[in-house]
Amino acid sequence: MLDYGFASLSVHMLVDLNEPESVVGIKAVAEWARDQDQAVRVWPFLREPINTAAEVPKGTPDFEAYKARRGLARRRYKDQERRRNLQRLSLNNTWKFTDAGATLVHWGLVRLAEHEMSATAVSAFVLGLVSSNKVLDTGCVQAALLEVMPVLASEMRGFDEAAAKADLAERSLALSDQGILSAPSMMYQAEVFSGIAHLPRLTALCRPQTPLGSR
Amino acid sequence: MTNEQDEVFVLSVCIDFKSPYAFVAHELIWQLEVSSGYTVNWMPLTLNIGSFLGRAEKRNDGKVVDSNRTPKQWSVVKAAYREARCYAENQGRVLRGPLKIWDSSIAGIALIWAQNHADTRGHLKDFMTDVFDRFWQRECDIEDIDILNIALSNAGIQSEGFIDYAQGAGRESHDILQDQLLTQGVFGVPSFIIEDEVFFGREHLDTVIWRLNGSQGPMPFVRYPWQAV
Repeated sequence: MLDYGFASLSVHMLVDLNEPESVVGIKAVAEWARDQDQAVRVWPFLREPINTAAEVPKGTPDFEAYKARRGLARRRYKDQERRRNLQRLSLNNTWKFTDAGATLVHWGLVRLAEHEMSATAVSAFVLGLVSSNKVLDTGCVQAALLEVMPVLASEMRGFDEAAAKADLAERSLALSDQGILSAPSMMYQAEVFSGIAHLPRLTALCRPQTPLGSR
Repeated sequence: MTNEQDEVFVLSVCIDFKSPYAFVAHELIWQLEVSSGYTVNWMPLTLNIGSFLGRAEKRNDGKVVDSNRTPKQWSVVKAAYREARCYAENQGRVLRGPLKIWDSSIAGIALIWAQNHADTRGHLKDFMTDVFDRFWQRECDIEDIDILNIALSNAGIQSEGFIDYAQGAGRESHDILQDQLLTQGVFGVPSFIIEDEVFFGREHLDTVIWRLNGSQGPMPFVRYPWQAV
């Protein structure tokens, strides 16, 4: 299994920065980490969204018509939720990475996590980037990464987009094998939490246990 | 959104008794009704689970006897039940995975009936809680019209006429409602409807309250309520 350097006592968050839900998740988790004084590492997870309906064998015309209508309803709902997430980020429009920019920013996330950058700092970096109203190409991403972590300059000089893309795909596949289904997700002590809504439960799990002798 | 008695509701909530997500949400939604003062219009959305997660049937010992599910569909189903069970236990409820995909439409029709005939909100809540709790303990056959008839009666709701209703006008209302909800963009449960806006999942409860109260201040993040134990 690929070594992600996951410390079991930290919370790990898996994100896809192309998606508003992941960026809202980073913002929420950063606030939670600060309030709870909890270490959170933010890592990339880049996989096609799971579409279980597409794997259902074809049925009668009525069955197929229902599937099509439900699929349309689901897509319409996703659009509503995307708009709400943009509102949570105080943005009017979604951002767009170029292919190379997307690879670089997720490569950068791995470096930031390996350097144990806090979720608060990662959140500031990501929110600054997606609200910049620029096309997020490699130049733009590189400048933002260097601003948040100047020490990355030397690593970035040797940046190989194809190799980085392959590495990100391999990491995401390894995470899938560990039970991650989609981004955003979280992991704590090898347990997977899909979405960011589990933070209240994580609060309970991460709370220091009362020593037995003091009960 | 109106019900059959043409009452106007600000908040409608769609549920399906066979959904584990609806099961772990219903008590929270009742709490929302009490704390917010908004009366909830409960509506059945009868899911065709086989159309998006494949079908499966198990024996009493848990062995799968019939299934067309792919490994990916199984992993999604297992993760959903693992998560729902955890939250159900946190509420002190028992969640035993069903052995087949149930046709919950009669239970949905019973929900429409209960809402229209319950003398008090307490009676409606008692009916829903009873059916939910017993179904998830594998002790309530929600395809059996007689069992639902008794459940209505046990909750103190008039049951006379229910069987005829379920086989006639109730079935028609239910089927029309399914069509309307799909058109409106409701595809899963629990879903919350405020005017034309849909919120899918109990993680949106805070946002629903925020919206009902006039959308003042920043929109809340999503979260699943977790009771301190």
